Amino acid sequence: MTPALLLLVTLAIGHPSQANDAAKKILADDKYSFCSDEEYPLTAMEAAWCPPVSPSPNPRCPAFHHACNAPRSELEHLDRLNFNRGTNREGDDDGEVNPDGTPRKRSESDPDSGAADGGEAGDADGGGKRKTPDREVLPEDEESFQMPELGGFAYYLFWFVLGAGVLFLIYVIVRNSSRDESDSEEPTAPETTELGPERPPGPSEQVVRDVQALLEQARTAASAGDFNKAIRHTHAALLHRLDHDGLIRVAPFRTNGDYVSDLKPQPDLRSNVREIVRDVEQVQFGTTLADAGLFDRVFKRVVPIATRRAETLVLLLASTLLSCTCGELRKSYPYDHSPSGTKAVVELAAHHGRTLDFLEVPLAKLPLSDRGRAILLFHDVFIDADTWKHIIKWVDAGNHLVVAGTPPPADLSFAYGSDSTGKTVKVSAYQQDQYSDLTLVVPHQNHLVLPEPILGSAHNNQILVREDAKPYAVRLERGRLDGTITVFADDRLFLNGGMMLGDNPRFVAQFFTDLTTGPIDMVDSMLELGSDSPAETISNSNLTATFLQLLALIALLYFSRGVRFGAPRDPPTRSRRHYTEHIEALGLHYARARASRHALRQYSAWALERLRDKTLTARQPGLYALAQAIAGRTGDDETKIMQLLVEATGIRDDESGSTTTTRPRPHTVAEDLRLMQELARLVRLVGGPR
Amino acid sequence: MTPQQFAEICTRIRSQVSRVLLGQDEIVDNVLVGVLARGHVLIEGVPGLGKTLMVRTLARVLGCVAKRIQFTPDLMPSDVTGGNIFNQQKQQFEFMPGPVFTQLLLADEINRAPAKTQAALLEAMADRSVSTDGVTRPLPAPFFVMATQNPVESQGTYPLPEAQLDRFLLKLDVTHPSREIEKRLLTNVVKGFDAAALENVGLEQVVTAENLVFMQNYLQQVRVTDDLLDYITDIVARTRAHRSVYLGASPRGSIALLACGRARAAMEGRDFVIPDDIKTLAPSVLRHRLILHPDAEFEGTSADDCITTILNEARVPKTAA
Repeated sequence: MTPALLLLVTLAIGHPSQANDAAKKILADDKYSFCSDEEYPLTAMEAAWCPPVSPSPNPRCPAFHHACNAPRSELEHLDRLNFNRGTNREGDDDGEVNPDGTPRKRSESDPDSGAADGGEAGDADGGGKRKTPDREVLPEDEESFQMPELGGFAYYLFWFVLGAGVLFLIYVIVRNSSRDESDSEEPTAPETTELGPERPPGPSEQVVRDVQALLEQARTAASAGDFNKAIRHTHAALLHRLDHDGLIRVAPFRTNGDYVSDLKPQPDLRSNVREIVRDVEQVQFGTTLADAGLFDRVFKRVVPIATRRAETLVLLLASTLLSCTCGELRKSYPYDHSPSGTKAVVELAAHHGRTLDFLEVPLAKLPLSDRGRAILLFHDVFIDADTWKHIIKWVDAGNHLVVAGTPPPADLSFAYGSDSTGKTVKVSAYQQDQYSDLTLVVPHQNHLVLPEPILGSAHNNQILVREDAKPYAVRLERGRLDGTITVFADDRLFLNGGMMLGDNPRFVAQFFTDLTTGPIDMVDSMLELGSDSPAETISNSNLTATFLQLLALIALLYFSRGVRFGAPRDPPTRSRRHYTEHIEALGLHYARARASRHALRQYSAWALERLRDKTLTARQPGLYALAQAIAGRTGDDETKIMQLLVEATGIRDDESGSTTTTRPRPHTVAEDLRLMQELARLVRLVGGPR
Repeated sequence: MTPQQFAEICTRIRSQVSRVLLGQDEIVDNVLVGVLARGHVLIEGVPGLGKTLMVRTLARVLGCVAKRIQFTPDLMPSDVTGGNIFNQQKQQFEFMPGPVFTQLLLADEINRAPAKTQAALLEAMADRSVSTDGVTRPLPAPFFVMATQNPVESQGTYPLPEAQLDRFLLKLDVTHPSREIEKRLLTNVVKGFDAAALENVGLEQVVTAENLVFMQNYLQQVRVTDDLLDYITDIVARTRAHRSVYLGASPRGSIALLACGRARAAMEGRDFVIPDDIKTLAPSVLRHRLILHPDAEFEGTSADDCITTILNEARVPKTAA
């Protein structure tokens, strides 16, 4: 760095003595609404700043005095979630002022800023009892799902979209149900042709159904000069788009005319598709040569259809989001810029050449190789014993620890005490210190309790701030590498609210300047509270039920829409028994009933009649003429035929009571079957059953 | 003639016919296909559905001569084709042409005549000429026969053999009109419409017989791709392989499908055939060419069912699926 640049940087950095003015400029920014909005909704804890803030000619935060008389925020649950200073820290949970009974709302956005606060609500006794910053303190009713705050138009749009979605789902289910019924009623023959159904496309002709991919392929083919292919892909994209929308059903046996017919309910779309299809068919079946002009014409008409759904959805989502944003902007009080936030402190530190940011690595993994780094622990950061040991080692390695509200480890012999009065008092800098001329003002609650031996050994213990005889901030020097631990009674000096009063900005600026020249990392109770998995995130945000409902809806949609939603599948085909199956079933019944003789009798009667019809031109009585005619037609032995006919006649007449049986009837099933087969052979030889 | 002009003429013909025949647009279209494709049409339907009126209307609109033969059991072949009669003045036999010598012929209830008479007509339909005593006399052009059958009264009829059915290009089923159409029909009657006095309707003659022959010849210019020939062949081959079909369509069926496809394409203003032309006309072209197995008929399967199955299996050329 050149000397000139160094000089410029040095001049740009403010001096701590001017920090009060710098803080006033920072707080004058509109984003610190509590200094400009007289109706700013303070939380109960933030209202603790009200007593020391009195009307003055040139206040640093002009509107705050009026805000103290405005209705309080209903952001109670944030206090309990440690996004804010706990109201019970003051012991005045029910002391919240809310005159009209309709508390104003404050935005919950900017969650990372909330992390800066880290206030744990369970410290009501002020005795430093450590509690994990979990949510067990939440009452049951706070766990219930709450609608996000929506603006007027967004509110109606939200319910409109929700209602339209439900109606659409019902419509789709009903339509598909009716379509399934109509599909099943399609006249289909019981048998397919022996050629079988159309062969599926081979690997070389894999069917692409992704619309965007098809459009991309069309563009690629067009750029390569293959306009035939480009038009084919464009046409396919159009059909698959409509198929995905459930408007048509694409199948290998369906023609463009079928698709156009499917679009009868939508005349505009139908005429548009008809025009496109006409152009495509001119290329595919006509004499028109595909060229760039024709492709452009087809493509430009297909693209709006293929993408209109997505555009509509995006537009709807965008308008919804926009509406939500507008609605929220109307009443936006970002937490980070509230009296409980830390943004003003961060800006003040930056103004004086120090960088404050939140620590991103776990405290247990602080690198011991660090030198000159500083950590500011806000209120109630949960730190276990092992982590404390590691932090102390880290300090001994030449780093700086600022403990502001989080109870320090027992071996440091510090403890927190609290005042029962709950009043706000001024604390003064220690006279012998570099802060001797400063007057600090914070809402008083905690003070430090130091054992006498430590107080007595002041060579390595330095009281920075005290209120009367009670220490408020103490610095300990550790190790041989100038590591320090500074313990504050609480963290209020490092909040936006603290910047409003007394010499607090000067103290903070001077403190940071003296502390280190390196970066300062803030640590709050949200450190390491991130979710380990997306599922945990969903669970923590109380969205599990919503996600399960969405999954259920998707499943319902899948079962409802079937081919439109999931992988393409053919409609279910109707199964119908063949005639031969009926006959087989009938034969099985006969066999089970051992009714071969009955079947033979029926068949003999039919076969004799059929043989007579096929062979005799005139009605000639007796079997002899029939046997002669059959023998003449088939060439078989006349005697054998006569025997067969006599046997068949005997079987036929036997059951009907005739006594003309001339031959003992067969007694076994095999004999019955043999006779039936011989009769069937004769029937076949004389011309078949028909 | 351009495809657009061809389509415009067909549209005018349809609009003129639809002035008289209400709610039968599809039948009229198919009859027009038959006329343009030089075929003949067999219409099955109960009496009173306007078949005669259709022929008379078409004759007026197409500028053709129309005649009607009522087929009866005692109708002789010579009553159809005509025969030689001795002229006592000239002392020689002279040929007296029968009603078949016309341009549009309505053969009403063709199944009521004996097979011999049917054969005489069907031979004339196929050859477009009549042979009598060794002399062959050509029939006028265009020559179009619209035969009808009554599906309900089968007693005393002579069903047309399959071989003769094959000579018809299309078989159309006419059904009763809807209530709405029937009411419109009655409204027309109330307004004075008389089917016997078509001249009062003021039908416009759209084309002449010569124009019609030119349009028939124009169909040769309609393009058919190889893919579509494969499609036609595939459909017809499947009729022969279908398990419910005892006898499938013959190659004449393929030719008929092609000719009808061309006619429909031209009527739509195209100079090329598309799969829709084939698929739309396949039932009308093929249904009378299929003979079903008795067990299929026993189960209630019809030829139309088989054709629907076949069309649902045959892959359409250049499909995106």
